[in-house]
Amino acid sequence: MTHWLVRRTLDAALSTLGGVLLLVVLVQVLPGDPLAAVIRDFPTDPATLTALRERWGTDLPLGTVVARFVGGALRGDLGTSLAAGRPVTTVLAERLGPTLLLGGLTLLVHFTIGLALGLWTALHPRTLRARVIGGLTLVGYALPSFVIGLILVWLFALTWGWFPPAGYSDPLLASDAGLGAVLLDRVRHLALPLTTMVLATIAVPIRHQRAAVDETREAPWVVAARARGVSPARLAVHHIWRPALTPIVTLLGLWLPMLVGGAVFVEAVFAWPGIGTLIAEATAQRDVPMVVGAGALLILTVQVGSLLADLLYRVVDPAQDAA
Amino acid sequence: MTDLLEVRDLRISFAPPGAAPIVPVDDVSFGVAAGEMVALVGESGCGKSLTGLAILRLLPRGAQLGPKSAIRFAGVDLATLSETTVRPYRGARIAMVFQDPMSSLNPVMRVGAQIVEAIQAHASVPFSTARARAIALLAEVGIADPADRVDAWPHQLSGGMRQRVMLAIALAGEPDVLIADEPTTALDVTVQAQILELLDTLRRTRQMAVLLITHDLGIVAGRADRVLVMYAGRIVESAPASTLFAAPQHPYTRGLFGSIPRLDGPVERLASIAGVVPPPGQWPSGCRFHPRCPLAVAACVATRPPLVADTAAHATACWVTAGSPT
Repeated sequence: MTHWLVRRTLDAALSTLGGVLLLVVLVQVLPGDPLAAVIRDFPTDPATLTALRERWGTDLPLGTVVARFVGGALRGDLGTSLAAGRPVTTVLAERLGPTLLLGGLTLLVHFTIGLALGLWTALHPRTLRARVIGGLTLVGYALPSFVIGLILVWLFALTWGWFPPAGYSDPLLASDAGLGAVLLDRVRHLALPLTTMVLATIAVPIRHQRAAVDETREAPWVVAARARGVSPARLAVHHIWRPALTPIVTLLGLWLPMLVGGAVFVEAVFAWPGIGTLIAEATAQRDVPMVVGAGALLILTVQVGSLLADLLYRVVDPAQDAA
Repeated sequence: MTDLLEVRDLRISFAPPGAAPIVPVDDVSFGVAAGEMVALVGESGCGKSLTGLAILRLLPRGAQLGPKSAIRFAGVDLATLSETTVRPYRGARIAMVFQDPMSSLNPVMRVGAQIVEAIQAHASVPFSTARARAIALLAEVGIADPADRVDAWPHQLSGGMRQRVMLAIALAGEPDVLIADEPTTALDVTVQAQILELLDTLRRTRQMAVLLITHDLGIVAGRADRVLVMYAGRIVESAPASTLFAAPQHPYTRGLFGSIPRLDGPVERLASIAGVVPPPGQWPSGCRFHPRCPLAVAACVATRPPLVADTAAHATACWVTAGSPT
């Protein structure tokens, strides 16, 4: 087990390094001048342009750029954002909080309510409620997330005014407001983006869980457990749901990156100051250090996600150790 | 001797929507006395496994018991009980082991936990006591190092060991009747003999009745007290084991004996029964064996032969051979 973990972690570290290097090179090779994106049509004298190029390092040879990036990254320095003029790491740290909050809560809902609904609909397949759940979540999955977001904003923010239409917090909230007021404000701002994220994607965990349970509920060990008088509740949890957890771990591994990558569209609709909007802005502004920094963070998350999923596999499926 | 378990007029039907109902088990009656080992023998698809499942009301979805079917156990008709009211009988009064020990154990539960679960399903026993009993049960079914094996995962055990664990689970509820559905079919031949030996020992030490469901007459010899031969959803012959082995009456039973290789004489050619068992839904009229029967006469096609007992214990459903010596 320890041996496996060491090897697997080394694998992940190497893949992360390779991915980030590829990203640095690709961004350099791609057409488009970051300078042009900033200057646009503004008349600028050649000396200033040269000075800017010098400062931003835009016409350095590829090898130097890669060497500088790696050297900086090893010291925890991902460069300076061209658009914000501040260190990339500082900007990423600011944006990570809101994205983790939104993505984490979405995953939490998926892997609690989503799994419960999946189990329930698999055990009661022919009921009206199961069909309504299946149909509604499929509609949610089929609609683009920004459409769901706009509908929710229109209904709950503009028409009824229950929740703020956008933003992370109320800028007018007194800076010395109590914890309760701050929490309430945060919840009110979270409500619509979180609902949008959940509605747009909860069909996936429900369907995965349902399909997995459909298989295990017919398993011979379920008949054997019934034959020894096991109660229906124990049967559902220990003999049907628990063995159906393996495909769910795969899903979790795939979705962990979403926690950090955020949902670009949902963040954009709700002006949520997360990584998703950051990547969209940075790409539009050709903010090369920002794009590379955010991209590297995503690559790292994907690797950590799959490492975690592999670890969870071994917890969930005892036969894995034998393989 | 009154029977502990008595199955009367068992009829199991499946009614697929928009099609004629299929009746894989039809008019099956038999009894099992306390401490007795009864073998239910027949080829695949004859309905013997469904019969076993029906006793504990474990039939697959879509299967229905006939209105006259009765499964009497200790004065109660299990056929009339609901899923909830039949639960106290499962495992505690009547236990079951299955054909495939590989998939009959939950792969993500330690074997000890599955035995403890069987103990705690019917009695409020503290965990430590239940675990100690689980270890004792593993020892009783002949597992070495039971205190270590109790924490093993199913995939860490061999097929024979898993079947021993299944037997330990079955014993956990101290049942009066054990239904063993092809308990050795999935195992190696040497392991088969060990498991059958164990089954025999357990029923003697615990005075437990056993209904042994099998396709293999060879494993019945010398172990079962009584044999029921089933063909195409019906019992065609029923006799004490010694009588049946000495003088089988039904042509189907004789055919089965013809297809067992003997170890004590030269084998020229293994006689087998011509043809195959037709699937349920395509069962012929009259005696369902008549298309494959070398002795068939006109009556066999037209009318179903009743199960007639020639002596107190030997019953055969055949127009030609019933009551006649071999």
